[in-house]
Amino acid sequence: MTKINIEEIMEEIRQEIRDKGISGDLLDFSDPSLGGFTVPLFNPQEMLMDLQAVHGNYYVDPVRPLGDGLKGKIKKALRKSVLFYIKPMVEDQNLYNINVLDTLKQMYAYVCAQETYKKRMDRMLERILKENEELREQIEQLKKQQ
Amino acid sequence: MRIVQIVPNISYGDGVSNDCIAIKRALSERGYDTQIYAESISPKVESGTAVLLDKMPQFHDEDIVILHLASGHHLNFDIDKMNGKKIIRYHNITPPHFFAGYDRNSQYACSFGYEGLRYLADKVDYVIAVSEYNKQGLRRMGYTCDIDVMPILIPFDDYKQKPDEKTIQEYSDGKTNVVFTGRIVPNKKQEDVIRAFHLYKKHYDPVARLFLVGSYKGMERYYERLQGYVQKLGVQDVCFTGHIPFDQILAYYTLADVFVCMSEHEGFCIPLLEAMHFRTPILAYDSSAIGGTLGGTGVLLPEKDPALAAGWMNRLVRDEALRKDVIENQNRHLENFTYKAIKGKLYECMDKVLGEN
Repeated sequence: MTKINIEEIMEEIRQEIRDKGISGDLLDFSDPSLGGFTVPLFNPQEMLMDLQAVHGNYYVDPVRPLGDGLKGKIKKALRKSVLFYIKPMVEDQNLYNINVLDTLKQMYAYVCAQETYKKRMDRMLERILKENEELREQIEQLKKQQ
Repeated sequence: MRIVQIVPNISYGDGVSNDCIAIKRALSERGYDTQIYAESISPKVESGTAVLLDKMPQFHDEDIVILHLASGHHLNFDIDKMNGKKIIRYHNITPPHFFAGYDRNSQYACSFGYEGLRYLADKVDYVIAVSEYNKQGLRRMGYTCDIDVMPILIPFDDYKQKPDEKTIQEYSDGKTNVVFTGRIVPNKKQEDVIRAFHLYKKHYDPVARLFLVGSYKGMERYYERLQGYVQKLGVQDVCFTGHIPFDQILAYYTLADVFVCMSEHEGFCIPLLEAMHFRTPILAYDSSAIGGTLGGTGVLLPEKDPALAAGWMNRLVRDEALRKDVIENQNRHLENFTYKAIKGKLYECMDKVLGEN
């Protein structure tokens, strides 16, 4: 095999990179701006709005209104010919949607209950810490008096 | 005495299937009674190549059963219950973490594959690994049986067929063609090829093109992210070919001025040998089995630095003397992987197993 001095060429290239000021500091492939699944910070108001949006859209109507003109009549005839196939699928989808909606409502209710509980616990913790502080001061005073 | 190979699927064009078919051919040439059994057989595969698993007969103690192991499958937990001498042909399994966030099924299949591999550690008689890297991985997993290394059997005659003329004509315009072939999967790190190409195009060769040749089926999330990355970087002339016929793959190899591989996990990496066959200088990141397959040829990058990779791409394209030396070394190394050489190794392995019968 022909001997190739890889190390020497490697060093030449490194020098070339320095001379040309080439930076390998490029946008990271894990950058969130490239999309993908991201989880935002929890916001109960946003969750409620999303839930309301799901509630408003969960039902899919298999028989949407169509116009009355010639086009509308053709569309209705076409729809009638495929409705036997489409309707059961839409009904299944609606059943699934309502189940998902019910689950989301339960989750929202649970989150709200936990939020209320957390607030109460926070207040309680705050009071306990305050009492603890006062008690520490009293102990310190008692120690000084002894 | 029969020598049978068992593989989950036989399909057209994938490395494991090709190896399996090539082994069958080599065994038949030596007069062995041999067959392939697979759970599914692609209609594209030539009729009679393999038989469905449910038609598999009972084996006898003198038979040899070779299981091709490359992913998770129930077969990995069944082979030890069969009669005959059990051999694993180990192609390696991609570590599941590469698929996190892209494809849960692949992640699960690979985890299940490792589970099977661990299960078989003390249940097989012999392993034929495709690389030294694979052999060492099995040793670390607790395999104590005899393990030999036999690279993938590649019928290079298949590469002599005519490459797609239309593709050749379209891109034979004097512009530099940078090529990487391999499925669009996260472990192959196509994003790092794009990064290196971006800097190469920006600082050395503004009219260069990059071809990422390979199917993205099942990896649509990763593919979309790669496309988004190309857009965000603002790099032009990056072409994802998707799944293409074999003659078009040959055309891209024919067109390639430099082959760039930034993969972080390979059990062997057949495209490196394919690039050698097409006399294309190789620039590859030193990971997993890549260094072993290159065998000191090509250019092995010790670190993932896109600027360094871009500089090397420029050298391999422009420096005629270096290019000639690299290709010559690669060609010499390729002689170790000829059909005849690997077939000889396969016969040695079989003689060893039969001698112990």
